[in-house]
Amino acid sequence: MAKILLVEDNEMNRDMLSRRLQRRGHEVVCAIDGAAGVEIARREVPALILMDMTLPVLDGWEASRQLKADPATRAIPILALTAHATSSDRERALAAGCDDYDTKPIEFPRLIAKVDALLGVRP
Amino acid sequence: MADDPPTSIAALRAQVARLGEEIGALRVDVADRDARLAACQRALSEANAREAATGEILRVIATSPRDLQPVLQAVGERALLLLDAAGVFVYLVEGDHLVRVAGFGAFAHAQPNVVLPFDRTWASGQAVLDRRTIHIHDAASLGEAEYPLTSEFQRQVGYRSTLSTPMLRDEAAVGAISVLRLEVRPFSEQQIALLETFADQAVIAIENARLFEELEQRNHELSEALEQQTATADILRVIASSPADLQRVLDAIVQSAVRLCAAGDAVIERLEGGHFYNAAHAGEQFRGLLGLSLPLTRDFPGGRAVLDRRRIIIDDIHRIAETEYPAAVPLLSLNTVHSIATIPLLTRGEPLGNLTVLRAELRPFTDDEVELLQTFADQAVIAIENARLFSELQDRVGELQALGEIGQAVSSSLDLQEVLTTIVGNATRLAGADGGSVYEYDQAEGVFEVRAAEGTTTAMVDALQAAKMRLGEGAVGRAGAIRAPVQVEDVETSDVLPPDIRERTLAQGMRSLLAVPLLRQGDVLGGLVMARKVAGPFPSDVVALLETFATQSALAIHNGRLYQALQEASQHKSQFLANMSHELRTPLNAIIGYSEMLQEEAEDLDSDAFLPDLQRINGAGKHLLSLINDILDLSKIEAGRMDLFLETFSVHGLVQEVEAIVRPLVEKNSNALVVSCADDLGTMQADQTKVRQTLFNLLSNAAKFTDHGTITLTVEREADDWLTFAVADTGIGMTDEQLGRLFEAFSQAEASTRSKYGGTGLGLAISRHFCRLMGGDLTVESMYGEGSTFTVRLPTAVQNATDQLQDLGAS
Repeated sequence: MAKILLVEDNEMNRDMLSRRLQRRGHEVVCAIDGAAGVEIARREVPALILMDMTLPVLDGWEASRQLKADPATRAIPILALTAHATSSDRERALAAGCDDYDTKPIEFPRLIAKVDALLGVRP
Repeated sequence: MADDPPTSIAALRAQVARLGEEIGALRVDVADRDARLAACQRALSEANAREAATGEILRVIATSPRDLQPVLQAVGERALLLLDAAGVFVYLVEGDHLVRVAGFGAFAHAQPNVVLPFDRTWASGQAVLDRRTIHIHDAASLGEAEYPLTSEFQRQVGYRSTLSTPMLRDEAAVGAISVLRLEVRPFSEQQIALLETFADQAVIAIENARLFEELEQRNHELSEALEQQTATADILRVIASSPADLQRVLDAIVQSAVRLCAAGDAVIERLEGGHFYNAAHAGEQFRGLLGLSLPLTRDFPGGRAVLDRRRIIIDDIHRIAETEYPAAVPLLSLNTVHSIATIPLLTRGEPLGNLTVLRAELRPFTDDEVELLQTFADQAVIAIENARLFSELQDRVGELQALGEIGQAVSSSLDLQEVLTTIVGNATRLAGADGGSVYEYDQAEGVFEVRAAEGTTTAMVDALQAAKMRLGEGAVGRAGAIRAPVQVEDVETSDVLPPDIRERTLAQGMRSLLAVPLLRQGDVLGGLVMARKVAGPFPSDVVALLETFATQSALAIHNGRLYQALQEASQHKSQFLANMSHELRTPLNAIIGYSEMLQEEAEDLDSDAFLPDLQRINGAGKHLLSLINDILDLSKIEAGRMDLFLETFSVHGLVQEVEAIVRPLVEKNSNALVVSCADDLGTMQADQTKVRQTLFNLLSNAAKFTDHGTITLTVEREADDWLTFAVADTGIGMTDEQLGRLFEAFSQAEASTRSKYGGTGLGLAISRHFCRLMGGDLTVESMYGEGSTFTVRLPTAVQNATDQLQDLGAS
């Protein structure tokens, strides 16, 4: 299927999400902070990035900005995962260059719909 | 004689002679009879003439009662005619003299008003003194000692017989009439009696004229008094009607003074700081001197009147100015002034100034005029006092208004900065100060910090801030240390201020300071400082006023601190809830996520026995999550921190989205979902998430409480700028009591309801808050057992979120 980069600092969330994506046939690479996420994205060039916003070292907004500023990674769609369902978080995510967002806690069917949409998969 | 016939010639002759004698005797008889007849006739005509003359005089008296001259004219002319005289003089007593007031006949052109002695040196003098008629048969043959003055006249004029009769009223002689003949021909008794009659009539005329004069005078006085009364009443009316307009009253007074005293000028000079200034002026002459400020000295009448607290009335200032009033001399060279009246204006013995009235001509002020001026002066005092009281009252009203304003600011605004700015502004204005500042005492740091200032430059405020004055330092620090007002009467000579602040204060032009501590229950909360550009102490009433302001300021600071603490506490609570919910959600997410994964894996492994338990774990986790979310929403709403994220979206699109989500939920209880939403409803501007959350909440509630029924969502545009979303169900409905508590948090109808239907009981409270935040509302109608209808009403263009929040806070 597709190679997906999951940038998430919480171990359980990372484990759950990566396993569920893998169950659906995706290849998942993980990063545990924003800086690592940017580095791995450049190296692996995944088909999609799932980016948590509240991250150590480099937060999700800044990491997204850097990825969207780099011609090598600009084309990779980023799906922001915002912890708080507040409008300002969503606004900021879109402003940082993210292509879409979903709110935590993850509702897997909804997330999968957005993932598929960004990957260009027709349901 | 015819009986005896003649007997002889001799007898006949004798008879003829006898007859002749008889005839002669008869002739004499006839002549005598003719003479007597003629005398009788003459006497009759004289009597007629006298009668006519006295009648004529009485008629003249009757027709010209006010004028003596025509009566004297009539008396003179009649006396001239009836007494067959060459001339007539009339004399009147005036003081110690007799004055010749009229002359007729040969002396008609004699000089009038000749003053003659009131003595016995002449006939009329004697007549008046002795109250009897003096008859001189021949003035040319008088003895030397008899009437020397009459003899002298006689030699000058050359008359001979003269008659002088006194004019008597009661016992007093008022004058005399004297009749003169150029030949020696004494006057008859009748003529004397006639002249005495004329004299009586002249007295009547004089008396009439005098009475008339008196009447006229009285009339004049009355009308003058009336005019004065009117003028004073006018002034009183002005005083009463415009207590604040002192100038109008003073103007009316000086104008009345000029008019009623027929003076050239009237001025009211008021005393201030040892100098007079011209407060009001009427008249033409002194116009050029207005604005001249004379010092209070004894060297001019107005000053002396004030210093001696008495009126000064001067008949002719020119006669005494050099010796008595040297300060008035230069004014006299500029203005023509003779008579002056100046009245001091005194209230409880204290001088306010003077009222001075001047005449260009020498015409002394009468007692009546001085009394009138005294009345005017009294009125001026009343007016000045009234104006002072009125202005004090105004000040009090102003103070009360300012205090009211501050009180309102203190109670209605929790913005400490705004309250303190209001206080320092009002305090500076009402204290008549040129600048002011209010300090808050930072107890932890032990320094006074400037919070607001009026009439003070930013640089000065920075300097005051930088000085970090502690208790006991500077005016504000000292006031705080002794917990009482501190005055710096002269910044230049005082060592109260730190040197740098002292220099800067002086550079700002400030000379005196008043610092009042802001105290609350013995604690120093700050200080209020007023600055003036003049040196000297602040009046005690200003100090008292500022202490009131200080109390208000202390209260404001206290309130402000409480509010700040409350705000911080509320913020802490919100922050705590936000953190808590985040901390709770992270493990919850794991529970929900892993239980879902386990369900999937159990299905893959065909281990269906685990599924019900896994579903319960998952369901409980989701319920807990929704509770946490609701509590977080509610706490945000209560803390006023719920933001609106406004966006423009398609109403139809939103409704379709919601319908898709709730349809499975609604149909779970065998309910039908009917959505009535035209696709031409257009867009709305609102917080889409909150509208969605509200509709979802209402529809899931309806589904929850309805079994085998119908749930209808009707969306309509109401007028142009409102939308309604009505969610109707055919469920269990609610009692009135349940309806009453419906929108309260945690108010599901009963505990049993909660256990049966689930839910947090927060959804409706949150939904209503959301609607109201967006400027709309959520209302309900319900019939127990028959169903409920919830109606959301929202503006199509929700406005600025901050405004909405403020509106909510104010209501």
